[in-house]
Amino acid sequence: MTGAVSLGFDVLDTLMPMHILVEKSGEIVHAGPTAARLRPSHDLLGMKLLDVFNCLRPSCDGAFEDLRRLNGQLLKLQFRAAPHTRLRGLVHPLDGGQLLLNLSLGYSVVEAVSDYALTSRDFSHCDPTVEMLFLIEAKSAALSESKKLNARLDEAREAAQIQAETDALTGLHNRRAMDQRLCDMTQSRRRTEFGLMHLDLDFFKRVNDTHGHAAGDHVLLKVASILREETRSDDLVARVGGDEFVLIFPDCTDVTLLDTIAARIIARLEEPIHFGSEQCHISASIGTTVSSLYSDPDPDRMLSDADTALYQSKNLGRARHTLFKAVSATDDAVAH
Amino acid sequence: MLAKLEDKYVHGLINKSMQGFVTANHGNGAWAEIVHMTDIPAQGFESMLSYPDSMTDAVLDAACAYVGCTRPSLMEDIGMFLVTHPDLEAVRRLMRFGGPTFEDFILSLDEVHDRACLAVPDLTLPKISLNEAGAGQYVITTQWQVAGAISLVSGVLRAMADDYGALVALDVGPRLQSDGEILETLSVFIAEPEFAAGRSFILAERSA
Repeated sequence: MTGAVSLGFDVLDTLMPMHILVEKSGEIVHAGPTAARLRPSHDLLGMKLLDVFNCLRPSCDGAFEDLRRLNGQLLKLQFRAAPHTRLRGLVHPLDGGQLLLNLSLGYSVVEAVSDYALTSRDFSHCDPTVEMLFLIEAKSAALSESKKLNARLDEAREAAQIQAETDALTGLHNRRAMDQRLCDMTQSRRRTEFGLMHLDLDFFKRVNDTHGHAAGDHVLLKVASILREETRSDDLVARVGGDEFVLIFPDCTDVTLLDTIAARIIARLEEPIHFGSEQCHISASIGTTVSSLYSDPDPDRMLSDADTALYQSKNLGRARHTLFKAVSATDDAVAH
Repeated sequence: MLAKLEDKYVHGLINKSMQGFVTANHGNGAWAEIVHMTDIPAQGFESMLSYPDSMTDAVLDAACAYVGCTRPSLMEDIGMFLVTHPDLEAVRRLMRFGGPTFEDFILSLDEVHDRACLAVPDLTLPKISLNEAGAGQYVITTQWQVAGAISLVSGVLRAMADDYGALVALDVGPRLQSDGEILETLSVFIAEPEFAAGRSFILAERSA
């Protein structure tokens, strides 16, 4: 090769501040200013290169001679002593058996810059390490802003969903929420047994007509709080019409228990509700069905059956609870 | 009147920092008042969305009216706020990547636009160009669609000079306009690069 240049250490130190010069014997004789910042000089100068570094790749069994043959290849090195920083390296054999090793921080850059308190002056102006650190910080700042936006959007979405499933007056669930829950519970994969009650207030129209709509609203709020008190937190209470409510009792198909609950709800609704100086009197008719009556429960079918039972209650003189009675336990028999 | 091109947008990060400045310095009530005076979103700006530049102008005008100051003086205060407010330490750190001395930092200003684009591709900061005008003297030109960019830069430089511990003189020059972009100039004189002890800057801060 023609046209060789000979460079002094000062030039090497400027161009490649992370280089290390190794004697034929394998001893380190010189370290560039940044390489020298990685270890105290007595742990570097005069030490055998392969005592300081472990060569992870290509595998090298501690023979310095092997290193000389890796000229031009990517070396993955790691300090044997803590901090066990990983470095990338490139070796070039010089005349007279010396070896020039240039190092770079690779992906351990953030860790290493912090561990060795490196500054921008430790990197050559042509080395993009500082720009890389800038980008890492800028990207992580941008990412954290994005995460905040996502969190806010998620919150807003959740609030909108709750709003979409809530009855504005009473704060109970609405028909949409009820439909969704029934759909979830009857889906074959996630099928859950449950009791379904359809409740219609009795004499509510009279409250509105006699005492006005404000009294009617007040009564509905009171009804909502009674229904909440008389059910478990996992039960669903939905207002599905002006004075119509649906109650879903997951994992409860015990008709005796449901009958007791219905009787208790009716008794509490019959207590006089005070509105200013006036007293409002209402009651409720309830019809109930349970999912265990059906081999393949269908929400519409069950709602219709609960409704049938509810109208039986109305026809029998209101203020009572009726269980839906299938003609037979099989679906077909009920359907025909 | 400034030319307003319909297809120009200002990034939410910029709009959000104006909002942050107003609420930090003048309270939530001031921001509510400014929202009321303009047609910006009631919930405020989102930092990762972009908004038409007319909104940025409207907010700046409303903020000036509310505070009772001129656009340049408001922009200068926002610039200082960006670098000095403890909640915005990330901004100060990103600025300090400009270089180890204040002069290095000044020399890095013409890369700010590109650096910002690398981090957040749709973030278009003012384009800054730099001319040396003698030893320690520079003329900085900003080019942006919103008026007052130079005062923003001036506020940032004033705060960064403190951060580096340098003593500088800043002087905003006349404003020019070309093709809807506004050109503004600032002359910088670094009187004393190491006038006082600056704040520390560690290149890599390890997150816990």
